Order: sequence, then structure tokens, then C-alpha cells
Amino acid sequence: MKTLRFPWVVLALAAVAVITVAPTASRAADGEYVIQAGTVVTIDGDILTEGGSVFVSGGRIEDVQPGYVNPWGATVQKHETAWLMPGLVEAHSQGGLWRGTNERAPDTPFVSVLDGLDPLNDYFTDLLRDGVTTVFVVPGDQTLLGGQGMVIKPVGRTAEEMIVRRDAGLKIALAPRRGTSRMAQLAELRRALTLARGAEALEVTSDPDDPARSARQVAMSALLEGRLPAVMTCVAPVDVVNAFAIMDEFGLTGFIRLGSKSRRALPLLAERGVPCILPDDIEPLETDAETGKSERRYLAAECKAAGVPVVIQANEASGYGMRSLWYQAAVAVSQGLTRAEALRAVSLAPARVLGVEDRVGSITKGKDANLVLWSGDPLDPASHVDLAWIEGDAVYDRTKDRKLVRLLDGVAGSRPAEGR
Amino acid sequence: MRRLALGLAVCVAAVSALALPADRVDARPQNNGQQRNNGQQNDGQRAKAELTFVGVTIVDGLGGAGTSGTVSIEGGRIRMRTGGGRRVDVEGAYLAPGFIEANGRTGYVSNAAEVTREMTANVDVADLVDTRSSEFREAAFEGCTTVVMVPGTENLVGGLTQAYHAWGPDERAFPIEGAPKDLTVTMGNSPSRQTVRNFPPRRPRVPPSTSIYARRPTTRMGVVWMLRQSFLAAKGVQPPPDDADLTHYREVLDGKRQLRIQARALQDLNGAMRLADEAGFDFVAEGAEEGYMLRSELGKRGLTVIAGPLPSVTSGSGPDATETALRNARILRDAGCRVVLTAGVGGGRWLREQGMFATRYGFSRDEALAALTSIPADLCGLKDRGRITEGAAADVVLWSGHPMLPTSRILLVVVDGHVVLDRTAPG
Repeated sequence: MKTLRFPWVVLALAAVAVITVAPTASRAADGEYVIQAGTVVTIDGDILTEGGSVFVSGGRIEDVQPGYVNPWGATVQKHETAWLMPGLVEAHSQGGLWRGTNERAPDTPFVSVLDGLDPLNDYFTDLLRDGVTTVFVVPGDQTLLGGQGMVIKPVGRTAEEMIVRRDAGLKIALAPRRGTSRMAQLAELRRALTLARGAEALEVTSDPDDPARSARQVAMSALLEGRLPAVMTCVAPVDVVNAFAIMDEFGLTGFIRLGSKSRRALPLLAERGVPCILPDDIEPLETDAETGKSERRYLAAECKAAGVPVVIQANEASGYGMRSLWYQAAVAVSQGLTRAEALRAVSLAPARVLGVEDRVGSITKGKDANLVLWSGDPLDPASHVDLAWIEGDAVYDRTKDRKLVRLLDGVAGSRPAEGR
Repeated sequence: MRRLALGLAVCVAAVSALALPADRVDARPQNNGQQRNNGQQNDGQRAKAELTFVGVTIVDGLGGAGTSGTVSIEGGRIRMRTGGGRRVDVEGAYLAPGFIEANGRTGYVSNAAEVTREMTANVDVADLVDTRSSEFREAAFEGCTTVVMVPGTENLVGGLTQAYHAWGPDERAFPIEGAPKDLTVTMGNSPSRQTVRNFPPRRPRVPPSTSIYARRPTTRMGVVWMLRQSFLAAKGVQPPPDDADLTHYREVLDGKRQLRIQARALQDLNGAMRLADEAGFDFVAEGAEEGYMLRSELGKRGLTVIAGPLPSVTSGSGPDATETALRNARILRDAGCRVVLTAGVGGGRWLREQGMFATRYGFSRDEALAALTSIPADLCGLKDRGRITEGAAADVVLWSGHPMLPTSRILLVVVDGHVVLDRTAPG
């Protein structure tokens, strides 16, 4: 009997080799495959409810077609009950920064989240669990010129590997820091911008890449020349008025991040056409000055009514799905947005504001293959992210998510018997 | 100077202890927390609305799937037929019972625990609640029509609960007549933590109200020991501790008063079960974050568990640093427990969110709704609430879709027959 076993092993090995080699002989070797799902939400086109097929090649989306088709002759994976979506885009976050998001000195345009990102931070796997494949990580709101943010993807061993857009924005806080007045804050900002404009003439060289230039001047010149957008955080409506004044005086481009109290500025934003990101709490309580009663405000609905494109970020107090991006979108639907509008507010709309709509935010030919397969309707809390791809690479698989098992079933979940 | 302050505090404590006569609680059911409203008309007696909800999907709160039909409201009661009054006809709308927060911890006017003594079975949360608090209004506007308020957890024995209609026509919450009052106990770290934090009074700036002197217990052992003393004394097995009024403990032992024990960690749940067996009482477990570790023991007892709220981190959260599991409620239900969901300190406003996330972690939509409506109603002795059935109390909410979907919007809220929120009117 023992002598018989050997050829069997060889045969089995040969069979395995044939099976594993066979697909690589086809076009799959070039990173080409087709994902078919029962429902495909492309964001920039119709929702394909009768099934859809997405052809991925070389990390990009090559084609999208309704129905379960494969004219491209590539390997197919079919998920008939699932929903395929573009990866969601988180418009504003301080997640994944290791220790501290605000510089204490007021004027630090030269710092960048590049130097503070912790690629191994749990925040990034949490993003994948919630279907987010692009995130704008930016310094906090407590510093006048707070530093530079980057648009990144939540995978990579180093911060450099994660970059989608390096010069995505310079954080400028228009609301006064503790202990200063709004007037002083504005004066300080004007002084910094004026000095930078004047210093441009005094710099030893005008080549932006010349190491002889000061880091501050490199950042400020990029801002003044419009290569680096200004991300202006506004708490009160007056901050929005001030932001426009600064943009006019110094020729800045960029966008506004609204605080919960600045909703009254939405008509101003509509008039001016400057994009904005809504506060993380899209249903804040507001106390009426006359009656003293608190009223809930529905910001996504107000934003839509004002005619400003709705861009929603996750609630910073979120945990394990609560108030994360998909949930915020669902809340926006309850406020009166259509499902298409709400889904756009967490994908293509933020991609546009962040200047990365050529790469992410929708299932469109030529864009990065950032795809997320949901077990059902993404706006239903009972649905989960099953699979995710970034630039065509499989980056998340719920069946292999060991941390999730522990989250769901606790410390005893991984043990055979009950823990005591 | 410090010694003088301490002496004063001792005097105050002694006086307040004397000022709580034993027979005071017996008068409570008649008072029912109405002192504030003396001389005013009771909200509950106002004229109630007449409404007919036409062609709605009825989710009855008993766990069944939605059925289509017409429901009317008259005289503060639900009628499963077409009635008079205003017709409400919104396409695709769902009619659900109002949610019940069985473990209300918002709307307090000040400190929620009478920390001058360890065991204050005779204090009543009704004396503490600010019925005008906007948190009640917030709760009602998010579909939570009943809040059962509980005393704080910094005492070993906290006191008695009080059920409220979350909001009424006079712009405040109002007590539910005749609702039973449970006795609350807190195990684990919370009661002893308060003691340890403030004893000995090292820092002179600690306000004397919470730092009187040697308050027992200081450990979990002490917590269980003190409870055991009281219950054994109530049984007559041991002599009663000094000046103790054991009425409520005896009522618990006789099965006349429900006992709630906040027990979050594994050892506290074990301790509660051990005590229950020794003294011979039944209890309801509140918290039970580590209940999944004891699923078969808890399930065997058919224990009722007030589970939640879901944590934002699942390891080392809360004062007891519990290791929680997101599917805890589902695991306990499967084991045989009766599970009620709570938003805890978040308040009734966030109760719906707890239900929605229960559907993420193992409940069906209608099961989650039942855990927010009929199941807490039964637990709190409000048998005619938390359900849409013929003759049930008119605590109903109209939604644009299923109430356990975040995409659904609240359209109309009826609390005990009073319309407190109406978004169905055009414009």
C-alpha cells in the first residue's frame, strides 16, 4: 500500500499545478477580471438593477455593461444578490494620524500629514469595513495655518504608498483660537499671506523645487498660485464671509468646511459657487435665541434646498458602522434627498471637491478600479461590505476579517467553548 | 477649617437620614411624582386626538411582519378599524408603536444618585426628574414615546424607577399613572468607584456632597457582601443592619416588586446570580455586556436582559472595562434570554439607532422593533403599550418607511392619544 501512495501524490500535485496555472494562461495574468453583481450603482449613470458587469484591467475600470455579460473574455466572479458600488470617498478626516492633529504654533503651513500618518492604524481597516476607499486626511481646526492634507487610499505600508493626491489642501482656520478674537485671527492670516506674497520676490530662487527655498515659502507660494487649495474651516456664518474676502484679496482657490452653526451661510455659498463639506453632525440641535427652545436642523436637506452640491463626511463620533459614511447617506435620504443624491454625496461629490474626480468616486471607464461589494442595499444597516478592491487589487474580504469576528462575537467568539 | 467642613457635612448627612422616614415611600404611588404639577390640570386628562391612518403598513411591535390596514385612534386607544377624526393618508407609510426606553438616564436635574448613603432603596427618581427637559422632547420627536427613568448607578441600591410619557401637550413629560416602580441595584465598579475616588478626602477641593467620609463599599467583594446582608436580613435570617428599612427588599423577595441589577462584567453577572440563588429572588440584568460569556447560565434562567447601548469600542469600554461583543444581544436571545434594547445615557433620542444597529448584528427588523416596544413594555409592566393591537394605548408613530431603516423619516407622533409632532401637513 505504501508504495502506491507516491504516484498518487504526484498526480495530485500535477492536478493542482494545472488548476492554478490554467487561469494565469488566460488574460487574468494581466490583472484582468470581470465583477458581476445583481445591482450595480455606477453613480454617474443609471443604477443597473437587472445585473451589471464591470471589466477591470490594469487596475482601472475598462468597461461597464448592464446584465451578466463578458464580451471581454476575462475571468468572471458573479455575486447575484450583492450590490457593487464605487468605493466611498471620505471628504474630511483626522483619522490615522498618530498623536495629535493640531500644531500648537499658529502658523505652520509647511507641516504635512505625510509625516504624521500611521499606515498601520486601525482606522484604515475600519474604513474598508465601511466601504470607504479614498479619504482626505487633513490637520485639525485649531491652528490658523494648520498644515497640508492629502487624499489617500487606506492601504499601503508607507504614507507615500497611500497617496492619491499629495497637494490636496492647506488647512486654514477662520474661527478664532482660544484666547484670540476673530479680528486678531484675520489680521494674523492677512499678515502671513501678505508676507508670503512679498517674500516671493526676495526668495533666492523662484524654482519651486529648489531646496534653497524655505519650506514655508514653498507651501505659501503653492497656496498663492492656486496649486494648493485652501481648506477653510468656518464655525460661524461670518467666517464664510471672511473666507470669501480672503480668497478675493489673495486670489486663493479652495473649498469651505462648514461648522454646525454656519448653515445660514449656505445661500452665500450657492451664490458664489464655492464648494463646501457639511459638518460631521448633519442633524445638529440649534437653540432659538428668542424662544430658548432647541430645534433640530437637517443640513443635507438645507444644503440641497440652497442649491449647493451636498458633500457629507462621516460623523467623528462614529463607531463600528454608527454614523459612518453609508449611515450618513441613509440619514440624508431620511431628510429628503433622493437615494441617488445621497450616494453621490459620499462618492462623486466629495471626489469633485477634493480634485480627484478623474480617478475615484464612480464606476466609470478609465477611473481607478476602487470597487466595493455590499451584501445588500448599502443604506440598510443589515448590509455589510463583503469585498473591496483598490486600483484593482483585492484589499478586503469579510470572510477573512479576523478582527471582525472578535468584534461581533467577543473574546469568547474565537474559542471553541464558552469563555469563563 | 477642613475639619469644620467635614463635621458640618456629617451633621447634614445625619439630618437628611433622619428626614427620610420609613413610611414615606408607601405614600409614593398616590403622589406619583406630581408635586411639581400641584394645582394644575393633569396632562393625561386633556382632550385626546381622533385620527384614522388609512392604508398604512402596520408593524405591530410584537415581532410579526408588516400587514397593510387601517388603524384609528379614539379616546387614547387604538382601534383596528376605520374611525372618525382626521384622515391621515400618506403613501407607503408605516405605523409602529412608540419606542420605550426602559432604562432612561437623561432628564435628571442634578446628581442622579443619593451618594450620602450606599443603599437608598427608599428614594424615588420621580423627585429628581425635570419633566421639562428638552431631552424628553428630543426623545419623543425621534419616536420614543415612553421613558422609564432610573436612579443613577453610583449607589449600590439606587432607589425606585418611574415611567413617563415622553412628551405631552403641556410641553413636558408626564408620569404614567399606576406604572410599577422597580428597585435598582448597581453591581461592579460604579458604586465602589465613587467611594474610592472620594475616600480618604485627600483633595480639599472635592465637593463635600459626594465625599462625605467612609462610605462602603470599596470593592466588588464589599458590593456583594452589603447586598447579601440586606437580603438575608429581609428574609429574617440575619438581624437587620442599623436603621435599615427592608420593605422594598421584602417586596422583591415576595415577587411583588421587580429588581433590576446593573451588572456589566462577567463577575458581576455571576455575583448577581449567586445572590439571587442564596436569597431567592428574581432579577432583570441591565447592561450585561459580557453576558455572551455566560450565555447558557443566563439563558437557562430565561433572564430578561436590558442590553446596550452598543459600544463605540468593544474592548475596555465603560467603567467596568468590559469586553463587549456587537452580537451580544443576539447571542443572549438565542440562548433563551428576553432582550430589551436601551440607549442608556444617550437617551431616548438614540434608541432607534440601537434598534437599527441590532439589525446589523443579528436581529431582523421586526425583532429589533419588538425589542424597543412590546418587550420593554412587558418588562416595565405597561402591558397595553408598545404594540398596535385593538384597545392598546395610543402611543403610535407614523414613519415614511420601516422604522428600523435609517432612510425612514418620522411623520407623526402620538403620545397617549396626544399628537406631539405632525409633519404630515402640507408645506
